[in-house]
Amino acid sequence: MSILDVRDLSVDYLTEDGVALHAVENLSLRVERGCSLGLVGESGCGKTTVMMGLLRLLPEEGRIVNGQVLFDGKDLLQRSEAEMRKVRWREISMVFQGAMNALNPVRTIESQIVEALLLHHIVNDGQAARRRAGELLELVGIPATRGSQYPHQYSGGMRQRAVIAMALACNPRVLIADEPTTALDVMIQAQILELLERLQADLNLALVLVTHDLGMVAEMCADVLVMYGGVAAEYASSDVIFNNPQHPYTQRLLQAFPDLEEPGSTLASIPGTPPRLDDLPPGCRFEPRCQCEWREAICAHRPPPLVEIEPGHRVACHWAARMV
Amino acid sequence: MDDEALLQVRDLCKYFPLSRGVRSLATRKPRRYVRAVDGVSFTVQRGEILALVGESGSGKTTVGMNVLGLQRPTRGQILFNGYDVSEWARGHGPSLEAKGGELVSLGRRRRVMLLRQRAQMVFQDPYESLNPRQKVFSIVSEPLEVHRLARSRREREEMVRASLEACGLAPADHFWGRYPGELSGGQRQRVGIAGALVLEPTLLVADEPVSMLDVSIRAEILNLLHTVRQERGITILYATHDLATAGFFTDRMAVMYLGKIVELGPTAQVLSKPQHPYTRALLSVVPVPNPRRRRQRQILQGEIPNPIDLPPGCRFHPRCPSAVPECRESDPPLRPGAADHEVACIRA
Repeated sequence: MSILDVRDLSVDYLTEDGVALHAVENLSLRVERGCSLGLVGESGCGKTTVMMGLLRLLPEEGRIVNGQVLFDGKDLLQRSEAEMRKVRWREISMVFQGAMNALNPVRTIESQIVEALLLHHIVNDGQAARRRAGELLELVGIPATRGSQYPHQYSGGMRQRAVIAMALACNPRVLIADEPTTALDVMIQAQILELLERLQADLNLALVLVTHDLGMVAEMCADVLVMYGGVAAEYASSDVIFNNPQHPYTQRLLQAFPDLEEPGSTLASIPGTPPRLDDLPPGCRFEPRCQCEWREAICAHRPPPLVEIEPGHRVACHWAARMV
Repeated sequence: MDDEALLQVRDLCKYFPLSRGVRSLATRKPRRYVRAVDGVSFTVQRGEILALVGESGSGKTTVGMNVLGLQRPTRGQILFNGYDVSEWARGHGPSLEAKGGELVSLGRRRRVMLLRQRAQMVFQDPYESLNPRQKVFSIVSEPLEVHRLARSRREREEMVRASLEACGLAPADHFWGRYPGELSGGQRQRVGIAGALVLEPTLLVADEPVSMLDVSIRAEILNLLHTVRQERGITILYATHDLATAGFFTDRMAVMYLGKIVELGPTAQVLSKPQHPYTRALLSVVPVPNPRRRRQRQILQGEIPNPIDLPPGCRFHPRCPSAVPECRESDPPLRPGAADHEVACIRA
């Protein structure tokens, strides 16, 4: 059984006028224990909404319209808020985008980790909590003695490590990392990647990496889900995604990524912008920007279903589906 | 060849003094400095794109600031069009300018303006650098007003239109009535570039112009900068920490570490035959977009040390995987090698 199995999740946002905008539609994904999934797409494609939805942390205007979120076989969407609180952080933990800049500046790193430990009753006395905080810091490669320092005394990379340590405080089984390396230098980015890889193996974590950076996904994820305009475009193992992509969007995205082993070739860009939620195209969401030569009338009229074109390789494209 | 060079930087140093506490004043300890840039020399030819590559704290932004005359170098010289930038920024620039076939003599203030007009900057974050309450038209036309470059409303409109459309925001009237908040990240950065190009500068300093943008949009902006160079022959100084994007559209590359250039050469050369261990490490951590080509990353532990107490000898030796005892003794200068490829390493 998969540790996390999201089925047909749809999320709407209600506008002030009561109009429902479909931010995510019928999205399914699956993560096995100790495995990693990369959720890739441009800003605004719904990546973060999916994660917030499955943790039931959507803002007030957000509504889960349908779907199931099976964690260890049980549907999280049926749980009460009190039960959810026991799932968050203890079972599924998330490193939020920009969390490293959200550390409390006037409290030491250690005290911020201790707070989480005590609040979730992982340990019950301060002494033990501090000891555990020290262990967690060591786990992410920060000397325990630096726990008594304040966030401003940490560099960006160290703050990100501290935030990861905090996310691991309650021994979660699933870790969601939302853009964990954006705004970090390449070398620090590599350090964080290495850290996540090690933690995943040592703690048998299921890892969901939410990012717009294909390179990161290629470096560390087993499976990849490419999202576009709130729906899944392509879902396969990372080997397939990077070597045999079938969705025109995935193909363009890969061409837009600079590859140092083939320098000199021009970078392809994807003209146009992702669709606005209040103006979604009736057919395939990528159709207005698609430059595929086999594009046909049906693309503009009917949304393509996600079809399994070969075992473990799903694509939402009329053309790709026909080629099977 | 040097006659052709648009920009010559010679032994540039920029030190920032640290504030002194009462105790160090009393004990008369010498004032300490952050040595942000410490002896950097390079030349940029007209129409060339030079990448300044380095991590945060390597000094690449400080080099850019000094080149634009926004800071005064502690030591060294920057010649832009043959004139010393720091003198120029104080009003001692060229005294004559060709205007409509005639030579016009310039006052002190006009000379500074001329520098500002010729050397422009593209900022990192298009979400922060554009005034949210100013419409696109006014953002792009403001430099024209400041420099009094347009004689009539009509002429100003034409110049703004040309600049916006050159930056891919066509038709211009479709965009110029909007506020930055109504634009996507890529469009905002295009507005930022249009605002710089409207003055028809000869030098553009672009400091991490794509690091805040999505990968799919980065390509658009980089291609735009490339086209701008192609069509207008603008010289670009591209500061970045990302070797992958730098590899794509720059002619030469200078890799910086702790305020010094450690490797300098034609981009293709530096990327295919990196000589300095730091460049090699940086290259090894650039993500490869294919899981079949995953390779051993050479991760340097820790971070760039602070530039106050510099390590003795080569400043990279404490983190260098191939350091030998001699590395502690002398700071290697940049030495020319084959094909204009210079390296600062005793082991290269």
